[in-house]
Amino acid sequence: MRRWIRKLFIIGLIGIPSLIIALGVGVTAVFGWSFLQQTLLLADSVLVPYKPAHIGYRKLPGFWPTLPEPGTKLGTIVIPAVNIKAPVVQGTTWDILKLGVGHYAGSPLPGQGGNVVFSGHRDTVFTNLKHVKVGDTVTFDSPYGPFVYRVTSIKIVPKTDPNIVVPSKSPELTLTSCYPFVYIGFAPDRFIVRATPVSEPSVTAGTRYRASERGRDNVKKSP
Amino acid sequence: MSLRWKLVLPLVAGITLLVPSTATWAASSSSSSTQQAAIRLEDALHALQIPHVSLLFAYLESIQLSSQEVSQITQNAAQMQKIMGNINSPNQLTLAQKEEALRLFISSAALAHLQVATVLTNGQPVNLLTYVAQPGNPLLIELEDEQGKLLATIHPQYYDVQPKYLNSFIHNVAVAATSARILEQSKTFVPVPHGQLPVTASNTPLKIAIGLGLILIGAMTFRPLYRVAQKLES
Repeated sequence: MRRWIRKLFIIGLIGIPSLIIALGVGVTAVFGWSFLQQTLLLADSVLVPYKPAHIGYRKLPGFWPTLPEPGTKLGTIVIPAVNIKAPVVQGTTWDILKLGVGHYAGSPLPGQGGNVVFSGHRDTVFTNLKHVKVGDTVTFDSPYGPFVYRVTSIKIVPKTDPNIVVPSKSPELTLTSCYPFVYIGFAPDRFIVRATPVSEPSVTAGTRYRASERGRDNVKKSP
Repeated sequence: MSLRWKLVLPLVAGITLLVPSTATWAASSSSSSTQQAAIRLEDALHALQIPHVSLLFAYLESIQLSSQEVSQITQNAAQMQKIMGNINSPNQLTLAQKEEALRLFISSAALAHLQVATVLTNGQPVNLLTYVAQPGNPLLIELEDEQGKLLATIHPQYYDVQPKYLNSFIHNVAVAATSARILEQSKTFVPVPHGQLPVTASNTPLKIAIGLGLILIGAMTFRPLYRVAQKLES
């Protein structure tokens, strides 16, 4: 009996650290894979592109005639100065934000006027947003062509600030992420980058045109 | 210039000025009613205890609701209020009343071009006819679009599943449908008036760090424990 207890004790002595290691490997593998999918493998992820074809939806004139479905890819956001390039998808729920930068569905889409809001995780797609400076260029490559913005302000606000995701009369782009960028738990603040439009494509259906940023009447074909 | 022209010219000028200002007034009045509808829709969705309203708001604004659909939703709300009028808890409803209430609820959602899925927090589907509201058995109501894409999740707490809440719930569905129809007739996208900043924090790196920490702890304790085990064995 004593021998049997001793054997059990020995198995426990070796088994407990082995179990801890196995648990650690499992946790690291599951969340590491999820992290890889949201960062390095993001460009390879297969997303359903926007198609304005739903029956029963209101049709608006201009860009994005019908509402994109949640999770559909609207385009790609590129901020060359800080090496950000990520897909933009419709919606900002927990699951959708794993697919890339989310467009807040309650805000207009680029080209519709008003305050366009894009949000991304501080530890995946928007990690480098902390390095953005006033004057940097933000490009949103859409199915209609590139919408180009220039950063005009950067600020940090509490997460409950009611003055960020609000309608505006003039067109602008608001990028949001959590702040501090390195924080254990749910970050209490938000990092806000505001940008104003520099140029946008022409609404001409089926072709990709870009209007001159200086407001000239002529339109140029996108390169 | 004749006297007649002296009288006519200011009149023409007045009408010329009045017409655009009337048009501007009409446009601003229409814009104001659209804004009011947007506020009512957002408030109604918040009253339905939906934490993130943006997807549902945009969806309701974009679907084409007919006036018949809106009036039927309003009628359903009135019928629901009759059913809930004389009870203190939904558990007191008879099976027939439950069936009728459920039919009205599903019908209202379908009229608003929504699909409803009722599940427990572990994802198990729930039959509302046999569901007994009690603490520790929380219910999630998932609202999906016609393609089955999740738009919003309602998290009613036990103390919320009371006739007063259910009455207000149905009333707010009717308010939302009425407001959505006004917004849908707008020729532009009407944004959420008081949007909340999305939650952009994820704890994935922290969880990876915890996993690595566990591996480290396991590795550090393995060697000394293995030595102890060897000593015991010998």
